[in-house]
Amino acid sequence: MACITISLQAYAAAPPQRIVSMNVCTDQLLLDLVPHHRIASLSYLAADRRTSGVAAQIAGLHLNRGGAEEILALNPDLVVTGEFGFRPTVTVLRRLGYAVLEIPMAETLDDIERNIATLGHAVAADERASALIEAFRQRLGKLSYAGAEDRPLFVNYDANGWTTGQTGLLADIAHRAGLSTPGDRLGFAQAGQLTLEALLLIRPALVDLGYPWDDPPALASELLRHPVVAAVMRQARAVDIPDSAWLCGTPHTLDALAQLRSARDALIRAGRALGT
Amino acid sequence: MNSGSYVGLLTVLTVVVALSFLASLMVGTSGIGWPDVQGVLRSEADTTAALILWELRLPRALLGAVVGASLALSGACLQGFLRNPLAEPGIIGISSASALGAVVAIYTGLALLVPVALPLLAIGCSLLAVLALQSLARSGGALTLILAGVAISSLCAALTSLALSISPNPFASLEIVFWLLGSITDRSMAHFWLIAPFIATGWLLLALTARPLDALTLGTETAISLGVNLPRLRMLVTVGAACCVGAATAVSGVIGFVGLVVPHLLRPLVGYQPSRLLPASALGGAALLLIADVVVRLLTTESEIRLGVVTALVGVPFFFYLVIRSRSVFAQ
Repeated sequence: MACITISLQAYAAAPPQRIVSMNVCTDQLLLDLVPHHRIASLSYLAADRRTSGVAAQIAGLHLNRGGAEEILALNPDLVVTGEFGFRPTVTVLRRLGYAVLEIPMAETLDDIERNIATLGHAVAADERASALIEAFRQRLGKLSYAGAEDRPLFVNYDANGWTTGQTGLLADIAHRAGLSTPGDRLGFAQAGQLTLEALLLIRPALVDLGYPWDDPPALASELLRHPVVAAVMRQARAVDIPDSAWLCGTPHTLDALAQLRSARDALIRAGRALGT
Repeated sequence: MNSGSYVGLLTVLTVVVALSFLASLMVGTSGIGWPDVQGVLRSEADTTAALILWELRLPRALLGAVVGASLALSGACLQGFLRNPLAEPGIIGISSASALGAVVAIYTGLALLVPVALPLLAIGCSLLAVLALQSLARSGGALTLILAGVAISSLCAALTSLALSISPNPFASLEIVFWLLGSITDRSMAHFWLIAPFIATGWLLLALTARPLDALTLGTETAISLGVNLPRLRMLVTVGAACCVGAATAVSGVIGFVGLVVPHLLRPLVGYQPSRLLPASALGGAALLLIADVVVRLLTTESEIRLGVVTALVGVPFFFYLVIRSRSVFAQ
């Protein structure tokens, strides 16, 4: 316990210069806050375009797989990670006296501001964090739709039939964009699974089909090639939001909101055009 | 048993298959039921009901019938040929071997390039398992065959899990359950047409074993003296069962105990005559799997339970009963 206190004091005194991130979400927040030379390592998922929006910006940075030995060898002065996964690693790092900061997952767009502020403070980049938050708020305000009417159904249909509930980051993004989710219609809170029959019956207006993960393939993505999915896509408008935009809450998550908002506005315009 | 009551039995089984096939078309997560089905058949209903019926429930019902019939038919033939009451594709490892072949075809991406590689690899592995079983258990008794089967089954299940665990696809490891316990949810007509030719071949080969299997009930020497060509019979059973089990497992995963329960329930009703047991088992297997698949859909759980869970819950008590009854055989 004594050494944890000492090391925490140490990082409070001097800004950390060898920061290690073990989580793909903290990777992306960190890149927005500090220059490359203060980052000792990012998680290996940061380099995967399917999960990370920063894959193109991290050339030359060390990548880790989150093992305790690997992290120790990097001699970090601050380790940041998410709240899920790596529990044993976090425990052992703390016991050895390393400063470990856990950033909770963003469940709403507002959580993103909180996470930027927390991480910004920990890496002594408060000013940069404030500027990011201010820009985030302004853009969010411009993109949000507050009305109760005209909320077409948006279905993000992922591998194994997983889709959006009433809560969670993607549900919040959809709500702010002026859309409703399968969870709103069918009454499930967190993410839920839709069978193909149920997908047909709820008649989505806007559909984002999950990434097919065809290399190598799995049965999960075979579902997305079913003729019934093709039939749904003939009746709905398609939108393709990269998973990396909403898997983590970062300032760039607003790109997903912008995309959904313009798709939603196009749907409403098309509906009005048909109505008149 | 006279042929009149045999025809009666086949008629009853056919009616049960027809009814459970209809039930399979009418039950699902959406509220589409009998009135909608009638509407679709008169082609008046909206396209959603038609899509659900033709693209989701019809392939599911067809696969249920065909997979069930193939597994029960293979079970009946294997039991007759090996003269072992416990010889069932799932128990003696043929199903697990087929699943391993299917897993290799799908997760390497081969089946995406050449769809027919899926049933072919499953049948290939299934054939290897049957041949291995026959050579392992050639001189041993009933117990040797079962032990060899348990070994093959465990090995193939382990290799299936290994292949799926090392796949870089994040969903693959979740699909271990599908391959070990089976399901025919959300399949398409493409799956049915992919396996149909292989299933038909398997049925044809196994149908040719009916007469020789009758003769074999009198003992190997008598059968040979009656003109049964034993190597030909072995070839028919081996390739026929491999085609049936391999093709079925390639699209449905491992579904156990159908080939055990059905022939045993029907054997007394056909007067213990293999040539009569084969058609009856095929019908009974189709009915059992269709009913099990309707049960799966009626039990509303968070995520649908696997078909293999239902067949195992029905089959295992039966298996225990057979083990107890066969103790005298194994004690030799």
